[in-house]
Amino acid sequence: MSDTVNTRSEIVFITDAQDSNPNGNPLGENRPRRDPVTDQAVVTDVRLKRYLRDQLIDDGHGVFVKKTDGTSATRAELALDVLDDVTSEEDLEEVDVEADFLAAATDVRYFGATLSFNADDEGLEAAVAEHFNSGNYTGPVQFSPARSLNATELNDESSMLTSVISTGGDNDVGGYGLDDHRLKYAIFPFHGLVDEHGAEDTGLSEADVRRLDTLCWRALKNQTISRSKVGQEPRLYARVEYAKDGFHAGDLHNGFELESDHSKPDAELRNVTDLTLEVKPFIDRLANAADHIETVHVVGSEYLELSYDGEPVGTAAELPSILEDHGISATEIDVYADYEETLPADD
Amino acid sequence: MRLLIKLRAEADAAYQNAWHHKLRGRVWQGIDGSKYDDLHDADRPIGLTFSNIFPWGDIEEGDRRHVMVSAADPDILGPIAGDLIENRDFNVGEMAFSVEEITGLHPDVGEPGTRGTIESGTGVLVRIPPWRTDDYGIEHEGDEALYWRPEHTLEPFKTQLENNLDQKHDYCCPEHLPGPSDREGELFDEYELIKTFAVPVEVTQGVELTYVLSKWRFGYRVRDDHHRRHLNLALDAGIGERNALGLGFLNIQEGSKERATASGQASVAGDD
Repeated sequence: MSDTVNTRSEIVFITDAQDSNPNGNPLGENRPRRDPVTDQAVVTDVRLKRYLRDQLIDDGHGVFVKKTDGTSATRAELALDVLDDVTSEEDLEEVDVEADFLAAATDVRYFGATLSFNADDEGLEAAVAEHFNSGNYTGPVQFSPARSLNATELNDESSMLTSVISTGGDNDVGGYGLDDHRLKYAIFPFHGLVDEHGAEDTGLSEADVRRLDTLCWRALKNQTISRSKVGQEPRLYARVEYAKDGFHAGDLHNGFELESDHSKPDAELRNVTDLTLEVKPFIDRLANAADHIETVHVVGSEYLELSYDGEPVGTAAELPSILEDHGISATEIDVYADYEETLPADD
Repeated sequence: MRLLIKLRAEADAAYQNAWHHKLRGRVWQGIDGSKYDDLHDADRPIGLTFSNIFPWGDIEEGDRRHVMVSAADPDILGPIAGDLIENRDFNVGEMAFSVEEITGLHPDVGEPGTRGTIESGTGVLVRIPPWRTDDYGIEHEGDEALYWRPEHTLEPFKTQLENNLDQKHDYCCPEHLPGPSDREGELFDEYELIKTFAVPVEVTQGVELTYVLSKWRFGYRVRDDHHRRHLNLALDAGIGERNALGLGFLNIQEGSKERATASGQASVAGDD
């Protein structure tokens, strides 16, 4: 594709969770994932990507990895699901299946996919499988699991809310309960990388990358409505767009820590106003690499206080001007003015 | 959050319009003895409301009806749901039902830019305190609050509604976040009065008052995240007064949510 992205970007996405279960472990009574030694909470990259995919679906983009309402679907069925124009084997001869698939499957352009088709597929499903040369797409956008900056505590109370009960007809009488375990408070820095070489594999476009600048923010706002997920907020998103030299600073998420003089002790943290985030390591690292940086795309919360070397410097919403003060080019993202530009065009 | 409770009629019955007190009794049965028991005596908005039994109309045995219970603090819904599971009889005066199914719903007005319409499913009670009547140019003597009526004009209705939501915001939302009156702009873009009506409501055991209520259709466009929170709070906690009696229950009009698309055309957003 002509507009395939050719520059590297590095992302820091900071979210928090108040009285929430941001990532339950189904193998552990759906309790929030935590490191038992450090008490840091953990949110996996899989959970984050699920929010992003759900937001893509809500926005009308084609998505390959979907929830399937409990029914299993073959890879071929999922592939066909995003290829709207293919309804027969003859249709396959009229189109470039791989190109159309990547154009339609927005999440594959970001995160890649492995299309291991079933050997016993028949008919159209077998035919579509033949049209994929490799079936393996390495995602150019990689997020890492996030570990909370604070040691976390669980709410002691565990209430039960039955999601659905059914006694009608021949249905079994009764219901099921969800044990409800939540973190009192946790703040998570996600780290992401947009790799220009991987972009060639999936055709990740400049527009796709620009979409990330609003998608992450909106996904956390819109896809955390349900009871256990409510209480999560995006607090800071920064995409460092590097110049065309294959450079990236790396591990930018390690440039944030709780500033002890202006933050309550971990055990007393209850919401975002209880802490200040020290950003000196982050800013210094970017300042050292300023010559390699095209600009830093930023959106931040007005409730997250920042400090530089222990001195309060403003809120995350003011980070662009803080970066500029340190000689780093920054661009403010206006999420709700910008996101419509990367919605799918009407047919 | 709210619970959608599916009911099956156990017997023929006439639909009773004086349902508020008895339905409250059934809904609150789950709260009795729970850690939320003290909400009974709370001298403040508690952020809990419920719909009437719908659809309206006389009931035949076997009919399916519904009721919704909504709360700003979803934890309050836990013991209510638990009781409905344990005790399936759902009797509201002479109207006898059994509980068939409960589903959790998460209504959301939508992200900034979304347009939609909210309707009052039950009557809205707005009272004008006597010390505010001069501010609104209303001639009034005595120290009794006035029930809002159309002749009082829209201004006192909007103001009292917003002040009431401010109170709920104080109790139900993090204190660092601004309430409705802390922000510029009105709660709704359009206020369409459908009707006003008076109904006798048993406010506590043996005490009946005749309330003047109103039904509304409100148009909105979500300005920002704060406005979204305020509107969602109104959906969860109800608007106006006496929400714990099932007054001021709101619904997003089905199919009304629209947001802008890349082409500038409005598109229907997914209903919750």
